[in-house]
Amino acid sequence: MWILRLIVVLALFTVSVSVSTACQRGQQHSTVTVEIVSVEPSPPLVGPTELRFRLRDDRGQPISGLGSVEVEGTMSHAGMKPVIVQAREEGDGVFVTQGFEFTMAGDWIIIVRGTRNGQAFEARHTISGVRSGIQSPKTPGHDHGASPTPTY
Amino acid sequence: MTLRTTLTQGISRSLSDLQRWPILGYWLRWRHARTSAQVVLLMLALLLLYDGFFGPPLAPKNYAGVLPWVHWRGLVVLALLFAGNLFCFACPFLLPRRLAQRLFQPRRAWPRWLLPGKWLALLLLVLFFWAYEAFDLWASPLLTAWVIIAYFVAAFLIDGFFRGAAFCKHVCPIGQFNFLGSLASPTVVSVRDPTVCTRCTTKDCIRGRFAATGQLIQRGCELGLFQPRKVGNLDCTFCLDCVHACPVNNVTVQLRVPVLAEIDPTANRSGIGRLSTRPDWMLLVLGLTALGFLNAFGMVSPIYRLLQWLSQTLHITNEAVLLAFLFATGIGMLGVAAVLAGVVTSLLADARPLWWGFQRFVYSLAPLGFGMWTAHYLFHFLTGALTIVPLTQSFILDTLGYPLLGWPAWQLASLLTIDKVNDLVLLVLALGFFGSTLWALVLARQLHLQFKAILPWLVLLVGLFLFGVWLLSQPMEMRGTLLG
Repeated sequence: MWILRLIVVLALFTVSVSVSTACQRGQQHSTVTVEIVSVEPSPPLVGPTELRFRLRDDRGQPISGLGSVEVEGTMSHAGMKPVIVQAREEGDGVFVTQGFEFTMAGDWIIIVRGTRNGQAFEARHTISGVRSGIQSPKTPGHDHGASPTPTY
Repeated sequence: MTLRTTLTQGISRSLSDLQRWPILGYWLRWRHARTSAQVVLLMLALLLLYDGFFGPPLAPKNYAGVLPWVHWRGLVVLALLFAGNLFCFACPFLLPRRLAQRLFQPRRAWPRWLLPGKWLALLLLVLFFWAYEAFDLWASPLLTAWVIIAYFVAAFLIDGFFRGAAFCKHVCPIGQFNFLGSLASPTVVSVRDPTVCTRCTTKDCIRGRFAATGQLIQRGCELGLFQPRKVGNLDCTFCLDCVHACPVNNVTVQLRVPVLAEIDPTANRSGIGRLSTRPDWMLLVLGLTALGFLNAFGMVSPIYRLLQWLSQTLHITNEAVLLAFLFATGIGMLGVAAVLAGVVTSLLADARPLWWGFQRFVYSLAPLGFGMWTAHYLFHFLTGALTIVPLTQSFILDTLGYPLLGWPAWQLASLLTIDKVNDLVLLVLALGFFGSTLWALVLARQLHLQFKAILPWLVLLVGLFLFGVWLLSQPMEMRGTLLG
């Protein structure tokens, strides 16, 4: 019977902890939003890509003076290596990525991370329908030499 | 018999008998071996539930998005290939079910008039994989958590209502996948010495062991597999109840040559009967094989073009309906091809009824089907196994507010380079094809058939294999919407 008691205790513990915290893990109460200005090439294709985006604060004002921020491109399916690069500020709150590439066709989630007024922030945006292009892109998260589009 | 022969046989028996292995053998003999494994997976299931409900909504950043769809699936097929049905053995859904059995002490048998055998499981299997594509379960930690909850509740209610292991035997889609995958497993739960069983009068391995007061102290096989007549791994959850119930310690886990003992569909299997007379089992093999290819097809670029074309041709814009159509067509096509192959085999072998060839050879599809599943799941596992590292770092950081394990190294993902992974999954598919071909050839030999009689099956296997190779060579594409 000890195992049954253990299960009941664990279940109650999990429920109580979850309810008491009642918030999302990793949720940063960031008020920064990201707005994609341009994607080159357009429409987006698998391969090297230049993303231009603008960060806005809670009043919708462009954020400038951050220098650079981190940009992570990831897929909706777990287990794919994300693409992580830096984006430098061009001016007027517009940032441009350096060395970014879509490594696979599909829907991509763009996560921008940075620090503003000493507070870390994170903002997300989705770029849907990246298609296989004619370029010969690098494979996701493996060799960085010339290699074929990830198959399967 | 010479001393040398006796010694060789003794050593061979010891090596093949896992209960005689050091450490592992001791653990397998321990009465709570299964429970200890189940508790580990229960902890992980609770972690998944917590993160699924309260973690980030992005699948790659959530345990409920990563552990089930990358690690668990990969480890299931690896375990089936190299060890045995370990994930039924360690199934956490059965712990609450045990509670239900104690609480409700069910006496009702699974109703034979209501989807007996594997029919319900087959229906749920198709429904699950349709839902997997239609609702993008792989991209939603929240939906994944609800699926886990549904599993716990279903196991609790069904086994609280019906006696035995009704959930495992008639309902659980994962279990059916594991049963068929375990045809390729190198281990089996079986008797050490059949002559000991002929003298047995208590049959504890199936009835269970009772105290003098009549209280049950050890369950027997709840899936109705009577050890002396058990053949192979089908329907065996590796629960080890029979091992612990046998009063003379004559049941054990043994090494074996995979597939070989499973080939004859006319063998009378305890708890199952003859596979050649079980249409539910036949359709389960057929369905799982077709679903293996369909599930992989759902992740490559051509499916979007096909669905776009189907949408325009049929004037249907609802993705769920289109997917249902695609699933029905895919399973139906394989079904028709297998029936035709069976009819031609029957005619060439001069056997009647015309179903004869289908009834016997449809099971030869199982290794190739499992090969496709394994190739698919191993691809995700080998390209994403290391994502567990940054995810755990992130979990600790979010939970403690301090990077105890370091800052999340999100760049970690694959175990092997993509070229090696592609080669490996192709090899796995080829092994499945080899297993299926061997199955058909050995069965044909057992049935004294001429080579031409099984040609239709070989053609079908080659066709499926080539389709699998084509699938594995397609560029991956993962979208939230199929018609976008």
